[in-house]
Amino acid sequence: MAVPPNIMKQRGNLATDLRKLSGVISQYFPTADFSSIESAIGELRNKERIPQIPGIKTDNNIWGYSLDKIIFKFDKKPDDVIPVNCKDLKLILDIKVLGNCNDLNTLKDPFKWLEFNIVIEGTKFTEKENEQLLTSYHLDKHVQVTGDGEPEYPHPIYHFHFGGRKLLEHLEQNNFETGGIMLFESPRMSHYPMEAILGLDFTISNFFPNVWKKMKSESNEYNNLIEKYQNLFLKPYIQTHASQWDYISENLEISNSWNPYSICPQNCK
Amino acid sequence: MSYKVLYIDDETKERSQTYADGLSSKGLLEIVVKQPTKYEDLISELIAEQNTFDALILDLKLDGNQQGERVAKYTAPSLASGIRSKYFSDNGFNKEFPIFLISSEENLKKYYDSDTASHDLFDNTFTKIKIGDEGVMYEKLIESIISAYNVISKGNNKFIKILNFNKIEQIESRIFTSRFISGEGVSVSEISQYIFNEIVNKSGILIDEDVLAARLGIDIDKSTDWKSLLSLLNSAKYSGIYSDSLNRWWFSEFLFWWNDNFPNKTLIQLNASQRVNLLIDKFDIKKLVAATAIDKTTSTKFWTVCQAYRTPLDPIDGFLIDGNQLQSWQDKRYISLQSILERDAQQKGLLIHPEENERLNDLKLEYIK
Repeated sequence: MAVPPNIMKQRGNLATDLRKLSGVISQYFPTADFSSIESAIGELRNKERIPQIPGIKTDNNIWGYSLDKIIFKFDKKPDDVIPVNCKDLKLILDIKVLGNCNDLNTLKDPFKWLEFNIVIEGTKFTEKENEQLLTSYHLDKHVQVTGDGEPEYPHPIYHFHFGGRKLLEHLEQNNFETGGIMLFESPRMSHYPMEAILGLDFTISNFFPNVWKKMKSESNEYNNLIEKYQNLFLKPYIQTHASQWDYISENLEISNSWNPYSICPQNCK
Repeated sequence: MSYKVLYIDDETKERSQTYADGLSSKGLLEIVVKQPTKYEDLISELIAEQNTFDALILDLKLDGNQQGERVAKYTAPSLASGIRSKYFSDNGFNKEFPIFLISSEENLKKYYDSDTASHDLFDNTFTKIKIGDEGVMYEKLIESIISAYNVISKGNNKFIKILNFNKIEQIESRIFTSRFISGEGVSVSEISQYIFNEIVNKSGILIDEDVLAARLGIDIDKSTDWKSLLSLLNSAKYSGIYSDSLNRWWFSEFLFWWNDNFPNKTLIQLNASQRVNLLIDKFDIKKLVAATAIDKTTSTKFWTVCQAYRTPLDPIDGFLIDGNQLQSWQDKRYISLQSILERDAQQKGLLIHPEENERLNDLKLEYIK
C-alpha cells in the first residue's frame, strides 16, 4: 500500500531539510559522522515504507525516521569535564521520531513517538588499565498505555532526563562503581520536543558552544531551518503550555534580561 | 564472446605481447599489439580500423623508443585527448570506447599521478609490473568497463537499467546531477567514470564485502559459513554495470533486509557478538564468528573498516582520512590508531585529516610512553 502523494510531499520536504542541515553542519564539523542522515532521508523518501514503532498505530499519514549514531568527536577534553585525566571524548546522538503529517503546522502534539539519546564516551588512561567512561542524557515522549496506572514519578509528556538505560548498563558492566558519586533517580524535566534539526541544534549549542555561535552568525541557511522547525515543533508545545494562563501580549514586560531568548537561548531572534 | 582490444606501446613487439598475454589469459579479451607512429597518422589509422576494436590500451610513454620506422613524439594523455575529441565528429569515431592507461610504476609516479587534469581521459590505469599477479583482475575489469560502455550507450540516461535497480527514483536525484538525469551533453565515458569512481568504488549507496561483513559484525576469514549468509542477502546484491567484476550491495536494501528479519534490533547499536548471535539463531547458520576489535579501540559496534587493515572498525574509534571532498551520501573513510602508530597507514599513503591531529597527539601521549 503506497503512501499518497500529498503525504509523500510532506515527507519529501522533511527529507530536503535534513539534507540542508547535513550540508551546513558537515562544513563546521569535518570529523563528525552523519552517515545515518542519509538513511533517514532514504526512509522519508521511500513511499513503500511506513515507519513502524511496536505498539504504536501507524498508517499512511505517518512520517518518521531514525538517526542512529551520529558521532561528534571532541578535539580535546572540555576544561570542566571530570575526571581530569579522561581523553578521546565522543558524543553519540540517536534520534527516533514518528508523527502524523496531518498534525504538522497545527497546534496538536506533533509526535507520536520520540526518543532522543545523547551518550558521551571517553577513556581514562591509567598505569594499570584503561577505563571506559560514559555519561548519558535522554529526552523521551511519555506514552501512556491504556491499563497502565499513574507512574510513580511525574512524567511530563516530553521530559529530559539524566542517566537512564545506557548509564545503568554501563554501571552494571562496572560493578556499580560510582567513585563516591551517588546517583539518584533524576528529576524528569519538562522540555520542548525535538526532532533531528532542533535536536542537533540543542546538542551543538550545549556541547560545542563556540561552533554553534559561529554557525548562527555565519549561516543563514542554518538559522532559517531552526526557525522553521521551532515553528513546527516548539510553537505548539509552548503555546499549549502558555494556555494555562490568560495573557494579553501587550501586557508582557519584555526587557533585556527577560525575553524569549533569555528564557530559551536556542530561540531564533 | 570476447572483446577486441588494441594495445599501443612503443616497446618491442615481444615485450608488448607478454603484457597483452597477461591481460587476456582468461579469454575475455583478444588483444592486438600496435606500435605508435606520427600523431595524425595514428589517429587516422585508428579511425580507419575502428570497427576492429572495442577498447584501447595506451602505454604512457609512447615516445620512449625513437628507433625504427614507427616512432611517436607524444605521450598517452595527448593521444587520448585527440581520440576523445574525434568521438562522433565527421570522419571520426562513430561510437565511444574506453581507453586504458598502462605503464611502469615509476613512470606513473613521475609523469602521471600529479597530472590530475589528464586523469579523466582514462577509464582505468594499470601497472605493468603487477600484470603477473593482477592480470586476471585487470582483464575482468577491462571486460566489465567495455560492457558498461555498451549498456550506457544503449540506455544513455536510463539509470534504472544502467544500475539495474527498480527503486532508482529514491536515489537518482541524490546521486546524479540534473544534467546526468536529462542525459543532454553527457558522454558515455563521463557516466561510466562517475558510476565507477563515485558510486561503485566509494562506500555509501553501495557497500563492498568488507564493509558488509563489518556491519554484520563478522570476521570473514574465520566464518566458514560466510558465503551461506551472503546468499541470503541476494535481494540487496548490486547487479548493475561493473557488478561482474566487483561485488557490491545496496546499503538501503541491506538495512531493509535486516529490519525485516530483526525488527526492533537497531543494527548500528548492537555490538559484533550481538549481531552474530542474532544471525546464528535466526538462520541456523552456525559457523559465523564475530569480528574482534583492532588493538587500542573501544567498541565492536562496527560500521566501517580501517582503510589500512581492511578489518572492522567503529567510526567512533577511527581517525578520519585526509583526501578528496566526499558527497554527503558517501561514507567517511577512517584508519585505526594502531595502523597510525605502527606506520601501516603511512606506508599505504593514508594520512589523517588535519582536524584530527589534536586528538591523535593527545592519544599518542598515552600509548607512546
